[in-house]
Amino acid sequence: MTTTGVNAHADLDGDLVQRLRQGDLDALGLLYQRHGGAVRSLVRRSEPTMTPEDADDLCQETFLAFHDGLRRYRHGGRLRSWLYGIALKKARSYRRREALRGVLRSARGVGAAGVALRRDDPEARVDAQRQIGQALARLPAAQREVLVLTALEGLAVQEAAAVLGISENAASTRLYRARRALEQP
Amino acid sequence: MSDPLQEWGAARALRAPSPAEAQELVARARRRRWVRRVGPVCVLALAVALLWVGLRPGKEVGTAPEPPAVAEVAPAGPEVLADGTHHLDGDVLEVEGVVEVLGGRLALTRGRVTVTAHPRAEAPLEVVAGSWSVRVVGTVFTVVRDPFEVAVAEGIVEVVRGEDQWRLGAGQRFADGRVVRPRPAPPAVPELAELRAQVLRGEVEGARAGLARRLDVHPDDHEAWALLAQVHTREGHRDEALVAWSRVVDLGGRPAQRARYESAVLLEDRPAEAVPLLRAFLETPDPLAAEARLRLGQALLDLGDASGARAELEAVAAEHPGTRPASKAAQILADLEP
Repeated sequence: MTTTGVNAHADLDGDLVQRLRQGDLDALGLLYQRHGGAVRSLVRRSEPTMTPEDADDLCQETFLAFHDGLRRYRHGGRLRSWLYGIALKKARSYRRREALRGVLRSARGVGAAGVALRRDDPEARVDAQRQIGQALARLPAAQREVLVLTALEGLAVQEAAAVLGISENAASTRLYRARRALEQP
Repeated sequence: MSDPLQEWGAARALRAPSPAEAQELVARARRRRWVRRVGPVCVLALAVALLWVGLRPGKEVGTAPEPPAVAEVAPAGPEVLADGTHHLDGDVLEVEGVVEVLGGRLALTRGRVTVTAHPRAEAPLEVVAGSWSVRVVGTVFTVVRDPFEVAVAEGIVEVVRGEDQWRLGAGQRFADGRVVRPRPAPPAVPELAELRAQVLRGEVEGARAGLARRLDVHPDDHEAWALLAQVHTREGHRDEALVAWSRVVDLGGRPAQRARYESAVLLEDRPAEAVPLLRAFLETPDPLAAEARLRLGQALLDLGDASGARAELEAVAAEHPGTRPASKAAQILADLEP
């Protein structure tokens, strides 16, 4: 997605938020079309074991939660970052639910295959991607979130910190540790 | 490290929601809003009802519950079937209302009944509704009392009134005193050519619905997005048009070029948003370059950037001599002279 396609319409987000505040739910649908792809992709990247279907559900929940908490939102041209924050909170809840259900997430020894990816995932056929997926799944969630926001979603560290509700220093530290962990065999 | 990571991230990218999926979300949001508004009222009403039941005079603790009203209505006489599923001589009846069993006939006194019946040539099951009757020939059908209506899911029934008879087959309905033939199912994914034709005929609602269906199946169809943007523009829905054009931009390639220009046109009154779109558009040679550069000059002028505007307008005059944009640019430049 080009910057020109999204940032140039930052005020379009403002218009749509204003319509939503006035009770026009169609504006929510338009915001979903504009940002839903990015949110879906974010949740799937931040939770490597999440299926596309679960990512879709989580994405919808994110937008519904955004609508529910609209009073707290102050439009400053970065609606997407706000949505990312909500989505990551939803992803954490998803993670806790999955852990409680006893879904197997642990590695099966050094170099285990299929930990982060489903057995029938087409991505598993690509060795480098499989290894990255495994390594990301092994990362603590807090580090993985910062890495995904900065390396894959293109946010600056400061912005990622704002999304996660942590200090910039904490975000930098988590990012450093995440990169170090990925570099290790 | 970044390349494999970027590739991994790209492989896990999911597409943007389609207009149909957006409508689903909006429907969910509407239901939640309704529940939030009506829910507390329902809870309060339920609480009041429970309180009234508990406190009404004459009620003794520990007394047996009152028998259901249906049994009181007919203590002796025809069997009465109320709401629910009933099995009768091998037939299954789904009742939403009241049905009286009169030997081999069923009298629908209120609501509707759906019958799954086994054929009995010697004593066909018959449903009577006022002056109407419906005889089973071997079928699954629904009868509604008021207004009288019959819908057949399987098999065949005869609808009788006096000396008039109508035979209905599967998929047919009887309403307003006549047999209603089933309408053919609409095509799952409308063709773009037909959608364009609908727009040209002014059938905007139908075109919009068709485009939503098409984009649900083909979310990367830039032509469908472009047509949707045009439909929204025609209806004066600027936000919706910009969202559709932004999807074309996201898809990239040559269609993105046009989308940038069209978006800039829609944003004529918002020069700050139009400028980056026009600059991106002008990075690639295009037949509309003269118009785009003229618009860029005008937008920069609106933003107070006189020198930038002059540069763009001079470029229009120099690079596209003899064109309408060049004439317009020359006129503006003349006006800018002190």
